Amino acid sequence: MKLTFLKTGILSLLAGLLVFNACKKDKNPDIETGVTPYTLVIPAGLPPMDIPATNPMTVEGVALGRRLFYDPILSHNLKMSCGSCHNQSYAFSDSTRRYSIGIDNIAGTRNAMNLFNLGYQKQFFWDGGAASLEDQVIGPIQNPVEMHEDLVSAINKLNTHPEYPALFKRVFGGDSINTPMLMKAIAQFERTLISGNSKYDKYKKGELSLTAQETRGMNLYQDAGKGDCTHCHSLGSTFSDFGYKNNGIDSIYTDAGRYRITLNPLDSGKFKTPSLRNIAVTAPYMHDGRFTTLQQCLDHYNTNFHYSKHLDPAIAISVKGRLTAQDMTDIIAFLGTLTDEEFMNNPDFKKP
Amino acid sequence: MFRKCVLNFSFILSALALIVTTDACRTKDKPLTPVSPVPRTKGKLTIKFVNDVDGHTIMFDTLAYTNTAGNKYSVGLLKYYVSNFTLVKQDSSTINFANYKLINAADTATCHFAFDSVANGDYTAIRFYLGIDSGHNHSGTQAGDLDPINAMIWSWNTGYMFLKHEGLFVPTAGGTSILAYHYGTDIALAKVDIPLGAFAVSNNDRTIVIRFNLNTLYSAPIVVDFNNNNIHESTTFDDVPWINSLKRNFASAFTLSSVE
Repeated sequence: MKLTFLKTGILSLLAGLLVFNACKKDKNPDIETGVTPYTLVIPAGLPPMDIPATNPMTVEGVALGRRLFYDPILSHNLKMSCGSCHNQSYAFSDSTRRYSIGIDNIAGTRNAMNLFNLGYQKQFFWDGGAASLEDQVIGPIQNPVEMHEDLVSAINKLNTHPEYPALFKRVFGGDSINTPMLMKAIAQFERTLISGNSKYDKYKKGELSLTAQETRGMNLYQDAGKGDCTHCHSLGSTFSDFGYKNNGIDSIYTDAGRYRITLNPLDSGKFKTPSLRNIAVTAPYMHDGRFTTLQQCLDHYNTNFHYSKHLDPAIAISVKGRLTAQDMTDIIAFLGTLTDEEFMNNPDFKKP
Repeated sequence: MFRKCVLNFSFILSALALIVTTDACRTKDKPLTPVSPVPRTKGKLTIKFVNDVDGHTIMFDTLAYTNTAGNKYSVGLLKYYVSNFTLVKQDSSTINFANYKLINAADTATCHFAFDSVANGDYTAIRFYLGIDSGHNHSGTQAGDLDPINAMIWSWNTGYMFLKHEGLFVPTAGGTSILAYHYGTDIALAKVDIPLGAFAVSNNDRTIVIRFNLNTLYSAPIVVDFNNNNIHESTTFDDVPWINSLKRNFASAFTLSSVE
């Protein structure tokens, strides 16, 4: 009896508190929706990741994003998902295909980018046209040569789905699903795609040694008179400055790259520096996938680059033919140590 | 005694809960009926946009209009963003509403909106921007009128189309051609300043009707000829002169129609 009274009082107080909290839902969604904050596990070799305050990660949000990433519901004919062109087995790039094929059997004009360590990058696409990871999401969904769906239809399909409305409501609240929620959910999942446990990382942690050839390759990679790779592909960490560079693959541009976004003539022919992590499994290479092997890439930087007024200064002053065949073989051997098998097989990233 | 204590405790808790509950939504919800009426110090201001072509109501998908350059043209779609409305008081002080509104000429329900709480005073001008300021122009994760679902955002280059006019026109060479004007990018943000004369808000509901004349956008002060100038996506350097022309013309394309 006593307990009952006590309980009544406590329950009333709790109820009051709940109402009180309900009005503050903008500030503290956790209490109302019961989501669990997601804690990113960052490997030793990578820096902390800044998560945008407008899209805090939750276990439920990541799971929802993962489901959406692999769900063809977002394509017009229900046949393609993000995962169709971003295959985990190839570090979320598109197998060996130069240009991915969209739902209308039309090929794109740029090579599908790898997807990992995305939280360290500021803009997305080869030209940096998407201002954030969230903003990137609506590009491929609407692109006529990709999933070719309009957002009204995509959001309507989600809102009339038997399960998605409840899943979205739990993560984001609100009465119905809107586009920002879709963008945020997929971005949450994509931020979990962290690769930082390659042979190189294990070597850095002192868990194993590199071979003599791999070590030679690593030294050549950093040697300003030889590989000089570190100008753009910093050694360690993300293996990229994620900047925009004209690397001399063309002097006349069929794709003006970064210029298309900034309209700055100095940005002509510039493309985003990709990470060299997992590079051995993300062939073909360059923004248009023109090179099928790493040897072709090395040949390009060693001798085949084109001079133009937009060519990156670090390449413009480098001596053609400075690398021997053996040097290039050694660098490729080192690049092989950047493959992260654990990432490629991580069950948390597979289709749910 | 103990039981009484528990009972009292229970009552106190319930009372506390009640207080918390009553207190809870004060700021957000409508206030409870006040004991004595509080005098109003504010009015409600409705802003209404009326879209036309030289005084003619827009009829969609008909080649019914002719611009100053002599191009016959149609309107298949006409949408634009107006934002950051500011009222200027007689003493030059301002009230800013930090709002973003998408006007769809084909849907009059989208052509008006209201500010529920406008301080009493004499206002001399209303200012706003055609477009979205750079602080809000580079993120699609915004709800409401800025939600990408409105098909007013470029998905390959994060940013909003400030104005979209799509239709057909008759080129000098004959036949019909597509007219597709997608006006945007940060440099395209156009300031509009409309004098109101004497406009008083005094505990009442008022309306400002703003007219948008599409033909003025293509004529004053800069004449825009659609020939060889009919597709602009604001994506290349070649679009810049066109952006600058429209940006100037917006200031004259919006005028005060009436106040109510």
